[in-house]
Amino acid sequence: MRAKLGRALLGALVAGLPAILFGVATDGSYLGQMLIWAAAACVQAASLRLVMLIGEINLSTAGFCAIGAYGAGYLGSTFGVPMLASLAFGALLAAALSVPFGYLTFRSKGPYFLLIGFCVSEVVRLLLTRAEFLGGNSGLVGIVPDLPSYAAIAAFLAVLTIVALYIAETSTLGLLFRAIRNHEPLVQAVGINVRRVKIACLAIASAAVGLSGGLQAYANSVIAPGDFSFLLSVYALAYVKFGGDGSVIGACLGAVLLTVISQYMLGLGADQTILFGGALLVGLIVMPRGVYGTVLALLHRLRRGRTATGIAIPVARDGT
Amino acid sequence: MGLAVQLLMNALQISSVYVLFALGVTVIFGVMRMVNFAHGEFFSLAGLTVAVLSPPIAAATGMPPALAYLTAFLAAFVVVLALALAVFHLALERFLEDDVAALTASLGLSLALQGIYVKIFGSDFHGLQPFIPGTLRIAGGAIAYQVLAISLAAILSTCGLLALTKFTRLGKALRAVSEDREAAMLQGIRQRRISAAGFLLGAALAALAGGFIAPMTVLQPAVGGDFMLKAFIIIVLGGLGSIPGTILGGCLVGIVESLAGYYFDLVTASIILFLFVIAMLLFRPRGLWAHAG
Repeated sequence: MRAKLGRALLGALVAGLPAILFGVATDGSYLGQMLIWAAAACVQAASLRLVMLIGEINLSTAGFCAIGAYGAGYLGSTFGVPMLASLAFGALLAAALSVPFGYLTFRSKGPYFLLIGFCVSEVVRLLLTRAEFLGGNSGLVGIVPDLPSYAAIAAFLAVLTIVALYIAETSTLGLLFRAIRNHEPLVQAVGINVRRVKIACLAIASAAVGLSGGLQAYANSVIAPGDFSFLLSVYALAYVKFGGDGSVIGACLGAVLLTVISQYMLGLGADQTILFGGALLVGLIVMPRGVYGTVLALLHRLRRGRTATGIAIPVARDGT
Repeated sequence: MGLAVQLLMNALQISSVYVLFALGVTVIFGVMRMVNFAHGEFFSLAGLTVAVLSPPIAAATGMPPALAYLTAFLAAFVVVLALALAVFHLALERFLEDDVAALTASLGLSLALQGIYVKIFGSDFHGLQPFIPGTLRIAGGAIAYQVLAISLAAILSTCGLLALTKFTRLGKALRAVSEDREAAMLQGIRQRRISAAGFLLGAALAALAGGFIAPMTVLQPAVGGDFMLKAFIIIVLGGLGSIPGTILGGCLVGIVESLAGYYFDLVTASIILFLFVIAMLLFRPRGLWAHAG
């Protein structure tokens, strides 16, 4: 356990410190914005992946992202609540609302959960277009960070969240998540309340997603219901599948790569949906383990030299 | 009285296409255990093709608009089936054993196709001029003959699907696979072939629904998403993979939309439908049509 924590902190330092320094250097510029978007995308990918550990694809991600963004944005822009407090409020609101959602939807699983998650995302978006106090269709404006070097703060918060998700994954609770995916009746049989564990998983993931929504809100200073269509959930899935669903690192790598590529392509006037759709398909057909998994496998083969026997290459699937 | 008849007619019109659309998702789920997110894109491709091709066909050949519509419909049907065949063999075929991967692939396809449609058709709305004149008035309600004819055609198509699943060898195989996959394989039903057949049948239903919707409303490349939301609500209400459940759910959604659309608006209708879904999860988590227990 302690070794894992050490590894998590080391990983966070290696990836997070440059990101934060980059944030200090680029604050307020276009690159700074992109860093925040990438940070939010990493958090979304990591949280979607956390729910994948229990074997479910959580398409309600977009809905809870919207809840976090609007929760933080409303407090920040309307009541002038300090940024860190309203970000925390958005995250907690998303987590709190995900509990009754999980309680209801985890009565069923697999495709039902997925479809209802899709419906939740769309209904949250529809409700937001109706909520006049939240700006209706045109959304909220004037969500401005009240601290200097926001890009660095956002990167720091994202790193913190991802480390927290990693710790959750490697903890005893995380082992339960995997056990549920592998054989749910067995977990039930040992006397564990499976539904409660699933709800805990969803709540942790939703808190993270809610925070990512808040980060996005403060980065863009304007949010509208259209920003949170169910495509956001699919993009998160694309990050995970493209980067590699075997580890948090893969998910984050996918998020950073696709964010950067899509921004670059937008500059060329290309279409974002084709890119993300294509990335999903490439991830699935060409590199089923994603970019990170493929790189790991290649490194492994290089290290083995010519002793490779054609046996399936073991991949760090669970980071143990 | 007049209002009730009118609302019932609206419900009929809405349900007839919704049922056909959602049945496609149901059939594919039944054989492949996969929620096909690209279904909306098959549907919008058919609708857009019909809307874009009909006027030039009429202009070039001098056909009456109704005949031009049917010709364009046929072309759209072929295009959608060809796309579905390509999609199945290039991508989905690899994921027959892994339904999460299949679903993810269909999401990717849905995105990519939507982007490609924007390139081909532009993001404007496309519509068709009405080609059957006149309006039927009974008991205080009114329905355009064109809408009536299309609704009836959609209902006939649904009956056709029911007959297919009930009486033909293919239909029986499809039902067998959706009821119990292993048992069906043990009876010698080949998984790959039946999956391909089910997928094509589902795509055909999407093409029919798209062709029928084209003269009734205006379409643009993202329209598939709106229909997917409705289809998912229908399917969750009716019970995944159940054909009678889907029909029941489709009628329910049509009635709610007709009523709520009249008294409130369509966004409220979607929210009310979602409340239905939650209520159903509380009391009948396996769908309305599922057997008790």
